[in-house]
Amino acid sequence: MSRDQHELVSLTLTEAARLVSTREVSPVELVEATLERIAAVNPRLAAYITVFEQEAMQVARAAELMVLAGHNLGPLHGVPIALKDNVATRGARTTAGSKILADWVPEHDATVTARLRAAGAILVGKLNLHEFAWGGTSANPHWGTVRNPWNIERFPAGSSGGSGAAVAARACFGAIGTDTGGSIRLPSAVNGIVGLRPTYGRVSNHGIVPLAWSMDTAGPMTRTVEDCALMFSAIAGHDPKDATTARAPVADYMVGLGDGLAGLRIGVVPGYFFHHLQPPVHDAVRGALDRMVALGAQLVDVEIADIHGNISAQLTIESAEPSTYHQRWLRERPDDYGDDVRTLLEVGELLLATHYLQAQRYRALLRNQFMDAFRRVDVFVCPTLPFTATRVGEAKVVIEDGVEEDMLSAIMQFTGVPSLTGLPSLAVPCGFDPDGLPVGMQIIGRPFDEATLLRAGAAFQAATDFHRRAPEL
Amino acid sequence: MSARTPASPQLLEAAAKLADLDLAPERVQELVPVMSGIYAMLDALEQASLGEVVPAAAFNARWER
Repeated sequence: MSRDQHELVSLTLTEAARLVSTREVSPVELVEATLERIAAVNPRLAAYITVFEQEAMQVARAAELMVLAGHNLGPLHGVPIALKDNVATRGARTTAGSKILADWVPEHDATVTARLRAAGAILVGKLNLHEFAWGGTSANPHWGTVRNPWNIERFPAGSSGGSGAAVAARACFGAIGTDTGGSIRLPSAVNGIVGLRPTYGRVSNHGIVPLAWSMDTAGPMTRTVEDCALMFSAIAGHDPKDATTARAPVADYMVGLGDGLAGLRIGVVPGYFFHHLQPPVHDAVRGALDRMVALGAQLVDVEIADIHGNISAQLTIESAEPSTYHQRWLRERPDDYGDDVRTLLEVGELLLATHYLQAQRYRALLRNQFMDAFRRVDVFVCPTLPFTATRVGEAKVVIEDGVEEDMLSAIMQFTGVPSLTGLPSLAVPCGFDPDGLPVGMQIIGRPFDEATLLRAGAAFQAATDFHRRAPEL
Repeated sequence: MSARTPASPQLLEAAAKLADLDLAPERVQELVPVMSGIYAMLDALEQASLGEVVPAAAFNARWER
């Protein structure tokens, strides 16, 4: 083997795929290196619930033979990828991070799983998460508390905390996360990686354990925007098995990544998105905006009249819908839930139908106000969350003035807008705080215009090196 | 609108009974401060200019599969 393990797992997903296609690296080498890396870091991170050691090696050997015979299944051929453990895998345990589904072995793949396999990806395992994806810390009472590779005393956020930690720690080349209220973007930000919450309806949810049907999405989590575009291309598109997926055409997301920022109009909502932040987060995101302006973008201040109700509406919908899905289990197996998730599910039972419908009306109002604003801007940029990674186990967070706030509502302060409106949002690393913890920004775009988000993110990464830094673990 | 009725054990017990959800007294006590927070947040929605806005999750009659 010409490259050592460190060198192999440090390749980006795109580089690894290219080197496989040119026969410079074998899928067997990539999988061996990834499995070694998982074995080395997982005892400290608890990022994986299940690792497919034997199956991944079998698939890798077959993928190697195919390459040698001149066959290439697709753009991800031979590249190790991992899935959040609420995404169904045929014949392999899918727990959703719960005790209730601890022994569930699906008979079918989720559509996302099937599309990754069809694109040639080698699935190396299933990633830990906040129980049933209902929470933002990934402190999982059943499968272990996931930790942040930049500092294992800090949390990885959630709910896709295992996905964020594994990608940042080079324990896979890319991962699938799911995002209802921020669960791709939040762990992407605090682990210093890229994550895409697609437009609602762009990626199939078939075979994914639901949290809140009207807000659930699945998307890629990677180290670079280019990797994100490559993985997104493999999973996007209409699925007859999921009635919520759209028939809107799927772009080639790799085209246009190098087109730059010239003329891009960036909306900023100063009265909301730049209010109530930890200073290092404020400075990093403002610095990113300055950099984007230097690259040719223009900033446009925008007011969204009713933006302040978004957390209320989000929590209302994200309480009522999960409690509906879990209604039977909550009555038959209440003690099998962790305390925090059980409490949230009970809360959802105590809301009125009118609360839920007012939240759905607010949601339509907010969508209309953003659609009006998109006549003047192409994207919005804002922080992903107002603070950097907190200590593991904290239920409260201090953002400013020493005031403790509830973690769940504080963490979703800025991710709620895309979740409610269904708009796509790309989380991109944009700095570090004085403790060396990553800061992330969101780029929010028009419906089904992920291409513009990816173009903007790629231009930012071409001019910065935040995404090239790796945690020492 | 008048001030919202604050969350109390009696209120939550009644709501849980209506939902056919068994809640032990200690669970009810745990939920009181949580629901107070939720109800306070619901008040924020009252400030939005909802007018004649129709809910986002409206029935879709296209019958497409």
